[in-house]
Amino acid sequence: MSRSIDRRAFLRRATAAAAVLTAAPLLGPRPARAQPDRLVVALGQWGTETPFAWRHVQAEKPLWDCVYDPLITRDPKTFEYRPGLATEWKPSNELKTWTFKLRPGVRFHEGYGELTAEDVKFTVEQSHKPDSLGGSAYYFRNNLDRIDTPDRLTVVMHFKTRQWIVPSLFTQYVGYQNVISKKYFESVGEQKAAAHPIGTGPFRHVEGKQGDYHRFEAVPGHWRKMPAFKELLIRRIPEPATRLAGLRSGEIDIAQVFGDYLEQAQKAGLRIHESPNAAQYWVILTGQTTPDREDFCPQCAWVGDQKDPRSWENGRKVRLALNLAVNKKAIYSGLWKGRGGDTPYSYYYYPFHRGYSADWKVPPYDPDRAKKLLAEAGHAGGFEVRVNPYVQLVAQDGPDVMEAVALDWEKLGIKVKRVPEATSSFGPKGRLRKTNKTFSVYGSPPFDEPLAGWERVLHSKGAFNLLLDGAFDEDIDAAMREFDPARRAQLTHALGQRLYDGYHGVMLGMKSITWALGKKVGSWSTLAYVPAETNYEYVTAGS
Amino acid sequence: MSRFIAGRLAQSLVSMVVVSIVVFALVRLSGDPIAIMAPPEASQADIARMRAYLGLDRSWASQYGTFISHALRGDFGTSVRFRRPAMELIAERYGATLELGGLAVLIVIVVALPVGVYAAVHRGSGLDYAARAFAALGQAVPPFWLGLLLVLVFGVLLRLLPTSGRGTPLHVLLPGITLGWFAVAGLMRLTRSAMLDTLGSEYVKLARIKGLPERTVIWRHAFKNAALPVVTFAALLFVALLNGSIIVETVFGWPGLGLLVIEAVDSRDYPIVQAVVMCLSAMYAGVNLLVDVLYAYLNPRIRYSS
Amino acid sequence: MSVISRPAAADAVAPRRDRRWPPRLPLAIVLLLVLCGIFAPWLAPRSPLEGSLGERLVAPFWMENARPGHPLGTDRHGRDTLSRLLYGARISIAVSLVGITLTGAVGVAVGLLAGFFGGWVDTLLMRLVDISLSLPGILIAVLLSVVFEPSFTNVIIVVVFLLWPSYARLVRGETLGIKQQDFVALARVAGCGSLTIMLRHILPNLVPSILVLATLHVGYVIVLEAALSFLGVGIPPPTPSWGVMVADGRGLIEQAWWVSILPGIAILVTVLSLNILGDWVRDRLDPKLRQV
Repeated sequence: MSRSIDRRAFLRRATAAAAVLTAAPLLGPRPARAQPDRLVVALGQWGTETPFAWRHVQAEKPLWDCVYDPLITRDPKTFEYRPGLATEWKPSNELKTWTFKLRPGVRFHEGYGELTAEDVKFTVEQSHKPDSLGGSAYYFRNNLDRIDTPDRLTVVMHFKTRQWIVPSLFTQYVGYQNVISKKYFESVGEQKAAAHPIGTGPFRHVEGKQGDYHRFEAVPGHWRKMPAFKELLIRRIPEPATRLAGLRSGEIDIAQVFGDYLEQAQKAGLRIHESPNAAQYWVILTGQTTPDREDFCPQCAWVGDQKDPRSWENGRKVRLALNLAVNKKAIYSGLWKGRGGDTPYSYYYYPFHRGYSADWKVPPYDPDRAKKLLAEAGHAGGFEVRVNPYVQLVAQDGPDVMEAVALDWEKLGIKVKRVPEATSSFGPKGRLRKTNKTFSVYGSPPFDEPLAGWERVLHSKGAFNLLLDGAFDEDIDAAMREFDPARRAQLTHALGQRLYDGYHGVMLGMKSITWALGKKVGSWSTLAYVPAETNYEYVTAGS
Repeated sequence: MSRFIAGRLAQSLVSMVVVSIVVFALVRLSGDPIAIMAPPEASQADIARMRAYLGLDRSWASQYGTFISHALRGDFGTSVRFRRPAMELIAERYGATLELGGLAVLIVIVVALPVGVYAAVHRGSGLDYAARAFAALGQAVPPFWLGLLLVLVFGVLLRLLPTSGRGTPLHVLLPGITLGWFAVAGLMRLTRSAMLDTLGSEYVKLARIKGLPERTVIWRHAFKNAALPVVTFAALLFVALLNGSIIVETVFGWPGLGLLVIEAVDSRDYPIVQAVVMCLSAMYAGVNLLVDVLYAYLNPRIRYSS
Repeated sequence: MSVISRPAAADAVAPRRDRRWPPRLPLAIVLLLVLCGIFAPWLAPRSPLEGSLGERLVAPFWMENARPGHPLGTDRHGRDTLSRLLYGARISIAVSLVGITLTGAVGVAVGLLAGFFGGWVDTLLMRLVDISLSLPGILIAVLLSVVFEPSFTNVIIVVVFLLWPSYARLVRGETLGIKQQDFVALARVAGCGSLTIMLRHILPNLVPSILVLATLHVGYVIVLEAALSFLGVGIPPPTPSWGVMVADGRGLIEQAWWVSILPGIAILVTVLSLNILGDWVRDRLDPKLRQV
């Protein structure tokens, strides 16, 4: 019968069709192989991958920083401002106007001409777009009046009110503006410009695949720093064990390592590069917020009722007990492998800030005193808390640290419920103060002044609640209005002291950020204190 | 016959519509992408403005209408995260998943079929037990752990294969083995079972009585009859491997659809999740339809039974 | 499974040993594991939940870095491995048992209805199976854990979601074959209602196949649970289960192999034993089915 032969023919034709369908996508572009002139960096993740300042939220920095120059750079050791694309920045008109003078002769990649004031103006004004939700977009939308460009290398920004914080928005850390080329952006459109950005930085983007890898090439004769490696490849590998394997096999040259992975890297003979005291760790004790928020919990043992002095003091006692119950030295040696310690601090108040006090010591490990305090506060039988052991942007070892803290608390009789939830859904809950009183471990980045951070995380109108809301609103507002730096430092110090005395978080310590370096790498000077900043142009080649 | 095909086609379309509704509802229940993407300082007004801009403030019914009408044209919307058409992202990445899945299926078939047949033929022997132990190993070892072990042994200690990423044919070897490993057990057991069924049949007895060589009996007669359920399994296996590929792609940093979709769920990137699930559903319906038609073609009784 | 007409009872190629009892070793192992799970609170030297960083990654007793009180070493947080293995048996068994029982209930019900009634009922239910199969399970797991908090219940839901189609299909296929047989026609003539026929006559004949599938699935469920833990949507810490332990120790294969390999061995032994038992059920009871 003809039908039975058809079966074979059908199968043959079907197989041929399938082969064609499958072969086509397999012949796509691939990244080239390893070469001596190429530096390979592995990251765990890089946010939404947009290179534009008015869209991104810090997680994209490790990927795109190399393509841009900041207007103001920082001294790698002291964190002080240094000239970048801007040679000077002066306030006038009672801090309502800021004038930036640009460096002459800086060229954009791929022949898009010289950097001019028009490009800076164009970049900043993107913040006015209706869908701009990036780091500083909000600030500019609310405070910027207009920008003038009297000549090619002068940018004059007029603000609606007095602003002392303006320069910090253009510096090498915390919400800086990637200055883009107006000509390029307008000629290729945003989508193409986002997929293949150009800037003035020491590396230029060659090609890449979203979510997979990006290849960059060194820009010869760069004004700031000529990179030692001709090529830079930044790859994304979500699993830390695989990143370590890549480091050990030589496929990857630089990757962040922490905890047990740090130890394994050392045992495998890789060098460890450290950015000391880059992150302050504390456990956020949610529930300390204002009555209009869902998380508000005056009946929680660690909060207390602000209107009742005894309850309020009991809350403080419980918080101190939670501090004393944690064995921090065990964390330093067991989890941080000695890369961090009990440097005194007070939540965003770093040693290099004005008004810092070394009296702000991390509370010691004293479980007996902790038990006594709990009893005094009327909670001898313990109480229930919820914790989220998640990976935070800076505190990548968040799960381990949170578990260690939980285990210590359980020895006090406190019942700890672990409620794992990823950043993507937990983050927004935190911002809305709707976490159902769930604690988490937080690793902080430094700001130019503690106030800049407190304004965001301590104020009831602030975007986050990383300590408490409401109690210090007036102090913060007053300090923000103080334009004399010395006086402001005094107010900041006073507030820092009160924060410390209140034990509003569970202080854990200050930790270094560590990378493992492969054989190809000689040395690397990273920025002090900065956990998420990366400057691959300062990597030298090994011998 | 054509009536049967038409009927099944209609059913497949209905299934896909239901899938589209389910995934549409599920992702919207999971949360709000704007809340995730919004930076610290965004005010409620900013967020509302962004939501309107992306069309997420309209009613679900209206959003679904747009979704379906565009989907029929192949447009699954713009990714909230990447700001590019969702289909473009999928087209970019499906090659990688195809490569991975293809190798995995190949490994599964090449290893499981012969071993399964052999184990059935030499049932009760040492090899049968060895094969079943091997199958158990495949089932008992979690893929992510196996992947990391392979990376350690072949990538770091022996330096034979790359540890991650995509590039040369060598890059796909470890991920492919990791992905296929688990399914080898299942297919092997199924093959063994199906072979045992047919080896005891009268049809095979007849072949033996005719004096045909054992090899011919096993492969030309018994296996061909056992092949049908095996082929079904293999065809559906490919689609089922997407589940496992999420884990394998995460471990190896393989830039495929699995990684794309799991991160899309994380960041509530509706268009991508919807697009991937719909493509998967279409692929699955297609394969299912093909298999059903094949069965009906080969066995007329089925055509008229439903 | 196979839609080819079933041949009459006949022997396979090799001679079959007459075994009325299941193979002893696998059965013993499974019973031992169940007992370990039940008596874990009395057998375990310590609490599986307590630990301190000072005792982290202690090695098993036959190795250098061993310490008294931890015969099989400790994990990343200093929790005792032996205790966690024993309590883990409970959780892993519980997940498998509850999960597969629920799955079986749903799948068998659907398959029976589809196979017995045929027609539009069959079509509807099989398309439901298709819909369920086209939704990626892991995706559902992640979405579930986003909407509700990660929990034991979530894991069970995911297990049921992923496995019920296999039972439905298997049962439907077998029901299609069985309902053609004489004894069913006889039952109908005798005046039995549909439900009685399904439950009293057809279902008992399905039991062997269902059992085989179930034993096959236990290993799958335990490994699935490990995969969910890897993705962060499994049973939340600090509850130990073998899957959780393997996921926990995955970065330490070289440095502290016992954290992931010991639970891995437990899983392997369980799966192997159950596979052999499942095969025995099939070998032993299948021919009886054919003889009807």
